[in-house]
Amino acid sequence: MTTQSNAVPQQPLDAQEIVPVAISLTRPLYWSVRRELWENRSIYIALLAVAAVYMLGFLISLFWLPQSLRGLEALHDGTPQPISLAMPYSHAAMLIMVVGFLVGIFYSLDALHGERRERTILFWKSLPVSDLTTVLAKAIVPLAILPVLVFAITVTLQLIMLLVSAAVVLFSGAGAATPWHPPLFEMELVLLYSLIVLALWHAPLYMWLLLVSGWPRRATFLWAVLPPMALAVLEFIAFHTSYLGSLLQDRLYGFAAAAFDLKDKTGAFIDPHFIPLAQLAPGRFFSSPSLWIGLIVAAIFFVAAVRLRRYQGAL
Amino acid sequence: MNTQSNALPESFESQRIVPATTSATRPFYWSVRRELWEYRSIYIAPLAGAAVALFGFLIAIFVLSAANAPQRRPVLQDPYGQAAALIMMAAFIVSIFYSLEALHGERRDRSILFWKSLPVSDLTTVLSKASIPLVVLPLLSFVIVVATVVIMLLLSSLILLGSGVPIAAPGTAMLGQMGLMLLYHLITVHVLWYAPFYGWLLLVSAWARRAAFLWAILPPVAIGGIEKIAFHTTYFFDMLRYRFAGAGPEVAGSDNFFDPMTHFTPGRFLASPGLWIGLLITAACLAAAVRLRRYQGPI
Repeated sequence: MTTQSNAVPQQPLDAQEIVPVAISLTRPLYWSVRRELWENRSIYIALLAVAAVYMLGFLISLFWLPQSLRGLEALHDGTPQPISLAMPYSHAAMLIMVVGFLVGIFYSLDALHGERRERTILFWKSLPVSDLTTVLAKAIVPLAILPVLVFAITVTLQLIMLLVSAAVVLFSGAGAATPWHPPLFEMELVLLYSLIVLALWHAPLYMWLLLVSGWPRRATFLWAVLPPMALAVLEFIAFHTSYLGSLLQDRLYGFAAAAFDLKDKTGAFIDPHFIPLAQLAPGRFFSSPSLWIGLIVAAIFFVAAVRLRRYQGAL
Repeated sequence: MNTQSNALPESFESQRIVPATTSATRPFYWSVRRELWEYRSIYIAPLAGAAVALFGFLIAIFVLSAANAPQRRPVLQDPYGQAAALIMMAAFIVSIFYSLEALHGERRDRSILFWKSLPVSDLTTVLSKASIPLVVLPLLSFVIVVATVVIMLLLSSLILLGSGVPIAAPGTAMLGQMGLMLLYHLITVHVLWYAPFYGWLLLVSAWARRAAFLWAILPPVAIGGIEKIAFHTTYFFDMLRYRFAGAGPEVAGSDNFFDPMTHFTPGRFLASPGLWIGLLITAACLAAAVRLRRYQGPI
């Protein structure tokens, strides 16, 4: 309750002893998530840094933009080329998504281990915040905070890129006849859908890492990676099958086949740089059993991580 | 010199008289021992890999003991490659994890204050840490793979004897060839070719205050990304991929490394500029890590 009153000083000082029961359940969760962002600033710094670096590269590439637009003009008789136009924008989105994924993995593997290692768990456990709330806050970071951050940063970056290239097109006078920007709004919708799909599909992965971070005394990375690998090889040696191996692979990048129609109406494979809205398959994705099995597994890992935190102390 | 006398109590008298004759390799030897004490996963992980491979092999034998002999042959011959791959993979992952942790962990748990108080130079410490992924782990995985394969061969010949089939298991000649191939693979690919990775990871672990994993991965990703967007080329990513793929064409004449007919081409490997550039990068990273450790305290 002390944190509460410290954090919200505008609350009348008298009221804090009278209505401690009325504190809503979401306040500790909110402040726990804030705590994670304070402690792990890499969550947003890494994304922002990569976005800045990408912007730098894009600025360098603008020297070639009028030239390539003229080339496009000469090549095509005014037909829109969404893929070549979308390329820089989708590369930006992909890069930031990959970095978001890496940050999520690193964060989950450190979330419950770091506080035990540096003994701050003793302080955090002394607060009236339940283990459930703490672990939930830590699970929310890779499952909700990071996708939202990735979306916001990507959209901002793409809008800046759009503005800068509009200025270049305007001043150089090239590309007036051809469209010089991709259908950005459609791309943002697809990005939002992909982020939701990725978060749901990778949920068991993050929860496994969270569980591992709460359990071994050291070498969390090895405990996270080696057991699944050893089990897959064990299965292969013993039974000459690779169900577990393909299951793990499917969990890593099977979302593409589950959530998108990979072939368009003509039967050709779609280019991942520009996915039209028509290729999304949300119905199939949300009714696919492997998504729901994965979510159940994620829930089991989550519950186990909550139980573990109760009995774990400082290392 | 205190460590010395503690470690070697029999030289109690001589420590005042001949401290100058302490050989330069003793601190190094004990630094490596220290790493093995601190990071027991260095040997536990490959041993666990070997145990898993043996367990799988036992299951395979029991599952297939009812099958007839022609079917049994391939089943009893494959697992050697699988076991070797599992053990080497475990050792590789341990190498990566260890290199990223080696200089960061001692700063994080503040034990660097103690280790720096000893008369062991930064150079010795960093070299002993670099020798774990570059010398100790390849040697360990070689020994463990050979032991595992020998145990598997013994088991399979016992099974073959028991079932009355004439022994056709791979003989000692083939075993020797496999061992030679394995040693060559470990030295060329895992040590010499991957050395720049370990050097880079050690440098990052000496430098980053937190999030060493992100500092190790993000700069290469950012450099590759900036090159791709600015110049529409992928030289940097291609270089990383080529490095990670393990020098297939330089090391051996054939694509399939585990093919016994593969002829080695150590001359071509040693003459390839990629190898020497990589080793130069490794040396530069290690020198930078030594300098960094001098000025770094606990985090």
